[in-house]
Amino acid sequence: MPFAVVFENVTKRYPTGPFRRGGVEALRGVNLRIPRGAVVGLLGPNRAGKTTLVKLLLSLSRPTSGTITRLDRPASDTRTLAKVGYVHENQHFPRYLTADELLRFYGSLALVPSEALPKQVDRLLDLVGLADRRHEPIARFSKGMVQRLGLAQVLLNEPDLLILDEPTEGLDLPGRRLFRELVALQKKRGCTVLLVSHVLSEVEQVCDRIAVLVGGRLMKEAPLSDLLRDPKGNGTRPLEHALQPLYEASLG
Amino acid sequence: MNLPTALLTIRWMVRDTFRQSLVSRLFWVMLSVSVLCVLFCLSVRISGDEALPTREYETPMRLNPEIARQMGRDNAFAFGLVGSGLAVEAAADPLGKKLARDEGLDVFQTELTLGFGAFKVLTARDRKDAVRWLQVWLSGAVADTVGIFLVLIWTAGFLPTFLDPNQVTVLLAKPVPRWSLLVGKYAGVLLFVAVQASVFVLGTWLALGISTGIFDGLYLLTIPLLVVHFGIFYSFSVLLAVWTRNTVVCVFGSLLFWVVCWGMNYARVSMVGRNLEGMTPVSRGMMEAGYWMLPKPGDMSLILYDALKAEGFSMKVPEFKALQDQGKFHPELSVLASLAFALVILAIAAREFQTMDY
Repeated sequence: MPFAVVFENVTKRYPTGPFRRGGVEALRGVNLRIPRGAVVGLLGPNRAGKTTLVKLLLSLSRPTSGTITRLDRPASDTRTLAKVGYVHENQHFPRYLTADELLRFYGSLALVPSEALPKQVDRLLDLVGLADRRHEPIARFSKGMVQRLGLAQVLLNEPDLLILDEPTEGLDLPGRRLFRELVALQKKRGCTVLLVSHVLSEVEQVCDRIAVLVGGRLMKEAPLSDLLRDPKGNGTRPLEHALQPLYEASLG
Repeated sequence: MNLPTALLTIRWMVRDTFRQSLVSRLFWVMLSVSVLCVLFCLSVRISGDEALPTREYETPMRLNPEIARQMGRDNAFAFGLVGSGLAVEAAADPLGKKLARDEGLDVFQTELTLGFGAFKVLTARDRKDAVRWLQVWLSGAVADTVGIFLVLIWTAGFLPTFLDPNQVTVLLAKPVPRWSLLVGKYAGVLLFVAVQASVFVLGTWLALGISTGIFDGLYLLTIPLLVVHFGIFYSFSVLLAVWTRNTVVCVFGSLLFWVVCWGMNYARVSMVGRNLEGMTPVSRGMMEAGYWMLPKPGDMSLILYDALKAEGFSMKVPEFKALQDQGKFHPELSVLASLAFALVILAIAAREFQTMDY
């Protein structure tokens, strides 16, 4: 099976202390394979290492040991980022730009061909419902509007891999519906999605696989349906119940 | 990563910096300062004597010190033979003029009116020199000292704001080299300062020309020298921004660095120019190494002073003058060494930014 993302025995240690001798291990020997076209929910309690994993996948940080492959190339090869879209968990865009200017700016840096960019910007602003506010500075946008703009921004380069870190925070109900539609649309065109979220209902609705990180270790990686199957009977159980014993391991 | 991608990134970062300056109101604050100075220059009126006709072989010579002292001036110059006697810069006071005339000398005098007639200043210069005197002050004191200081403070926040992880992370996840983001931001700030310096210098030059009829092109040399001076010191601010992402550290760090460089520059010039004794070879060597490694703001000011031919308008720092008189001042080497420092610091900052974890 072809994989969009492969983590092989990846460890990330953040050095601390005056001589950087101490350290916090944010990831410990993580092995993770994300099949192409899958929508994977990355779950875990706070400080589980989810953001670190995302940063490593985006080449924002480098692993202490282990190897990471992104779209068939080593993660150190940043050319593959041209086919990656990323929503940051606490997104702050330059407040002095308008929505239109921001998308042109970020689209250019995502290496979208200049002749295709204006049409792409028009289409995406329309898609996320910001077409009529396109010339307003972002400073006047609500948090939900900034999130919508963030969603438009990740689709500029028609990515093969989408990394969404808490993308629905601040979104209202129509915004969340829009988010689900967008993910479904991307899945349909074969894009791989990694969704980091604490909103389990949302994860259940859009993901087909789940990866659970606890204390820097990958505790589980399985299809959503496997996790939802009740081991005591033939029925299903809420995702929360499936996660509870895994999360409690971090307390132990 | 190929060059076109890096150039594209730099272009976008330059554009972004201008937008940032417009919204942070820095653009307008600096423009307002320039407009005030332009208005001041427009308010200048000048009346009085024209420059003496001099021939190429006639160079100004210092007046007999005793006559100069009696006229109330420590420094006065004779500007060539005219008619029956020497014409001199003379003190503005009537006694000085009388003394000079008793000596058989013609006397220069011009009246500068400032603030649209609010203030009147009598100067012992011809009309052109009176205008150049104003230009030397605008260039040396306003732009090269106060201006550089303020611009270093005002622009220190640009990079820390940009490097805030919540803002820059999405850009770092784009397929462009990280160093080009940093270099683009540096180039943007430099270009912004170049535009502001051009507005200031060209504006005041034109205004003085319109109000007095005297256009002296030497003053325009201030623009490139100011930009180079700023660019050298801003590179250090860039390094601090990459290391700390903290505006306060960038402001105080770059100002402190400027002061330290001035101190090192002055100390070395004193050592060589005054030929200080009692220094060990080791301390001499360390002083030389410090001087050549660090930027040299004093030398930059001296180069500006010489470019404007400011002798006769303001006093040169005696230690620098002594160094020049001994033929030990090398402006080209000094600028090249300072530029090399800026390049090395930028390279370190870019390397650090390229490899750091976000």
